[in-house]
Amino acid sequence: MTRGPWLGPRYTRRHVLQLGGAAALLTMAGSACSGGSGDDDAPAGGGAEKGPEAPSLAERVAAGELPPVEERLPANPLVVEPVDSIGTYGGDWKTALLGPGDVAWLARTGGYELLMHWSIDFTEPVLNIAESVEQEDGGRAYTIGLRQGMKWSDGTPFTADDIVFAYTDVIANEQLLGVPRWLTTVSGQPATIEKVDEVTVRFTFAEPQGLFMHNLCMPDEGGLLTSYPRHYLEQFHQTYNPDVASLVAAEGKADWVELFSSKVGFSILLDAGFWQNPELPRLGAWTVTTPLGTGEQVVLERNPYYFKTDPDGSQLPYLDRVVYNVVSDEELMLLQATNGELDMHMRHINSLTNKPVLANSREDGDYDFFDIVDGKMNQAVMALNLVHQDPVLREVFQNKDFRIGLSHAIDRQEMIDAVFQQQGEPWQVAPREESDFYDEEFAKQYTEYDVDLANEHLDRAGYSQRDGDGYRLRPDGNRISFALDVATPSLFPFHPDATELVVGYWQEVGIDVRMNPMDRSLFIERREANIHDAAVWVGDGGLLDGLLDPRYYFPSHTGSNWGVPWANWYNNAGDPREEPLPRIQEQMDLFDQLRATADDDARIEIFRQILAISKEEFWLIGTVLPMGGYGIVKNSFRNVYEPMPVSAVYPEPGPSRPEQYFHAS
Amino acid sequence: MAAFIARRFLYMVPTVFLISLVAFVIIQLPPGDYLTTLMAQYASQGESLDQAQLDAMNERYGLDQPFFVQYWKWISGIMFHLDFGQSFEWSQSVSGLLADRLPLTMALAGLTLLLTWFVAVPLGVFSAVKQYSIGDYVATTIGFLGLATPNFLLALVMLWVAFSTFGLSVGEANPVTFAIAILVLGTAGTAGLIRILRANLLDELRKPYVVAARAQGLPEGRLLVKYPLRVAMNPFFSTIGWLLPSLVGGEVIVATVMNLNTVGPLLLGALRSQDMYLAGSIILILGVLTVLGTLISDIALAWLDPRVRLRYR
Repeated sequence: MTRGPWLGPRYTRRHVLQLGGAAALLTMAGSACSGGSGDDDAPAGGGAEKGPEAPSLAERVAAGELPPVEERLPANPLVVEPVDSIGTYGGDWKTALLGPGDVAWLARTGGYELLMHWSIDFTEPVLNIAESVEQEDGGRAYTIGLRQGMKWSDGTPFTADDIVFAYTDVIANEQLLGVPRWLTTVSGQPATIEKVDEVTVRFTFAEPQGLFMHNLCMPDEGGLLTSYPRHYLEQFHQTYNPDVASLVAAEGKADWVELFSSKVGFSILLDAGFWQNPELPRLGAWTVTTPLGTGEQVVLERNPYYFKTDPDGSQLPYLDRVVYNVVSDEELMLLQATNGELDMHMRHINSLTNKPVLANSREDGDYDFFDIVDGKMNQAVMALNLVHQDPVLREVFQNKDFRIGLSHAIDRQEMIDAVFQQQGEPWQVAPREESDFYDEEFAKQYTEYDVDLANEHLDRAGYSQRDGDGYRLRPDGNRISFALDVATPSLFPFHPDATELVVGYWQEVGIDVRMNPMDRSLFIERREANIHDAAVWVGDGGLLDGLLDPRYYFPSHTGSNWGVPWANWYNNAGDPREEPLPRIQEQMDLFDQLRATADDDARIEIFRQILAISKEEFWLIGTVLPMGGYGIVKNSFRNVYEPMPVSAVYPEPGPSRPEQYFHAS
Repeated sequence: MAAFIARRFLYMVPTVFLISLVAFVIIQLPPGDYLTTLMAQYASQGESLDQAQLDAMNERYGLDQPFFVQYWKWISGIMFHLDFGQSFEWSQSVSGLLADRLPLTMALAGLTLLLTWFVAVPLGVFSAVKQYSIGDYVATTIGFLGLATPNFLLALVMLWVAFSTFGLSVGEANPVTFAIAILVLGTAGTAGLIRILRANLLDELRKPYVVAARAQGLPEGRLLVKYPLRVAMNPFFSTIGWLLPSLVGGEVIVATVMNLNTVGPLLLGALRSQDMYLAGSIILILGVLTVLGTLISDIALAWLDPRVRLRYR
């Protein structure tokens, strides 16, 4: 795979054309340059044999229910280059939803519509709803140009006012959300927004903002800016409707916040609220017609005002509907998959253990596998709590030789064979090979299985004294004894098995370790309160997402289960807090610097420095690199991008443009 | 009798209050709350919540308030407006969610009950009257098998057969899955009832009044239905009360396995995600119905059985 310069060019208007042509890109920006000349590409009359719009919409136009397609599309629609071939209209995308806790799948399939998108190969941000994004004043201001004539799914124009409303009245409203970190500078000052004209907004920061474009691609960051239609929501908002109290009373709510919350959600990936209200206008390819919770299905139907076309000028999406069967059990979902009832799916059921089952039914179910690249770089990270409450254990864990010894004691190949269906590679907590930050030495250091070497390192660490049972002793004369917390049941059913093996390996070299399985809520509570000895979790951030969420490279977040008090110190939030080690502080300073660096290359360079410190200090013990990931897709279902990246930051399959999926007849 | 009923109603008030309190406490007992579950779920997808977002949600859901404030908010809503609050996970009102699922839940429970009685009563009577006959052994075997087989396993096996042999879709609700569910749930209930009825009837059949009736020349069939069977049926009526909560609560595991859109899986999901108002409300409703049901079966028993009725005088 060729690796593009994934931070891409700077997004001046002049660059937009180049951007459209850049090698790795799939979505072209059309004629976004030098405003308003989009008429030549207007799709009216285009669209080869299949016509410029779906037959069902053409009927509604003929019946006078809808304006003609050229009036529904913006002056300059986004032209989406299909992955394999130009499609045809019609059909459903049948998929499944695992109860209300799985709303993220709704967002990932039908709700990823932001100002900017990830390029399909997850290398850089590209334009989407925005027609242009311009960085000014060394990253202190960003001017976003919207598409002239673009409309919400109810036909109302989508303008700069909607973005201003989303920011000032929803996101920045303390009663509803509060300004998130990505819209503040490193020193904590919030962005200001101004409406330049009907289709242009400008965000201004007091200090340079390096990751603004990246954040515009992320659902719960940038996604919120395009999810609040002002014309619909202002009637429920205190600021705009002085008479909101009567509405509150009429709907039997406690206050306007509750009323507002019942109409819309506040987190794209987590909040079912976005999917409960069929009246809420949207920008996505499909809109909700059967909301979540009313029956056994959730149904999304084609948005007649969707702003994208294929290269023929035919309005997207190709598929008429997305139909989610709400199931209560993963095994049922698996049975549906083997029965060929799912058109395309890549969640819950696509584990390594299920692979043989699914492979077996490929013919009967008329589906096949497609490859995915997991954004995770580790199946199970053994994270010793470097800020342990017990000062002696803390000293032991902070001893690098101790960690190296433990790492050498792990037989990773045996783990791969026994737990991971022979899929994977011994790997530390280091970027994947597909990433630009890949460093073989970092990934492979201390992964060699060598009990003698392990013992040598542990002896050198100063723990050569053993008690009568052969366990090593701490400086205070007690045994080195601790527990590995494992959450079970969780999304990672292999964690107890993997941990069981690690416990055996470490016992072998004289460490009195045990596994401590528990409910995942308790797991998180213990982590947040910093009362755990050590914890096992997957390692995120193996691709570009590492730069956006570096929790496994330095303690940046309470998810950094190896140094929560340090992360709290860094974020100036939460308890307990503690001043980090100098090397960690160095990493934190570098990351602050990175956030404030507008230059792409400079940012890469800084992140490399952060990684170099992680490599040198070897904070965490990694085990196995996830490999062999797959999804399932019906043989007649086309244009699914492969290998599809899978990451929290790249909310698969959203960035792979589901609007251009279609059923080949 | 009226005084008896009035007294029972009075007793119900503190009982229901205690149930509501216990329901709420139990939900709060496990570590964490809905937000922790949410974070755990988020974390397993490698995502993280912004602190500002977390704080705002905490406030919006009122999770940062002390226990009794949350309890009062919930119980006062129910008492004064019959408002059970909002489900966090579904972001919908609890009443709406329940209303959506009640018809199917009640249909399932009702039909299961009919099937159970339809099968269990004749079989139970038969195996008591023809004790130690081949038919008795067959019925007993069926009964024990039904009792010993875990419901959900039977459901899975039948689903698998339906799917692999008949090529039926397993995801969507269809009459076949519904029929399977009724059959599976019915089997388990039947087994128990057959045994109870058989034992009761055997006791009665040996009593002197049966011999007396027979000696007077009463035809065997009429004798059986008119006297010992009526007495032996008492356990059926005393368990009618338990049906009330099951009509609403539904079966949890079988419904989950078979993907039936009933209240059972809703409760299970709510407990797992610590969706406290949803879980608390369902538990409370079930509690109230159990109390009510017990009353109803006491009344029914008194009405049917003069021996019981006379004792209340």
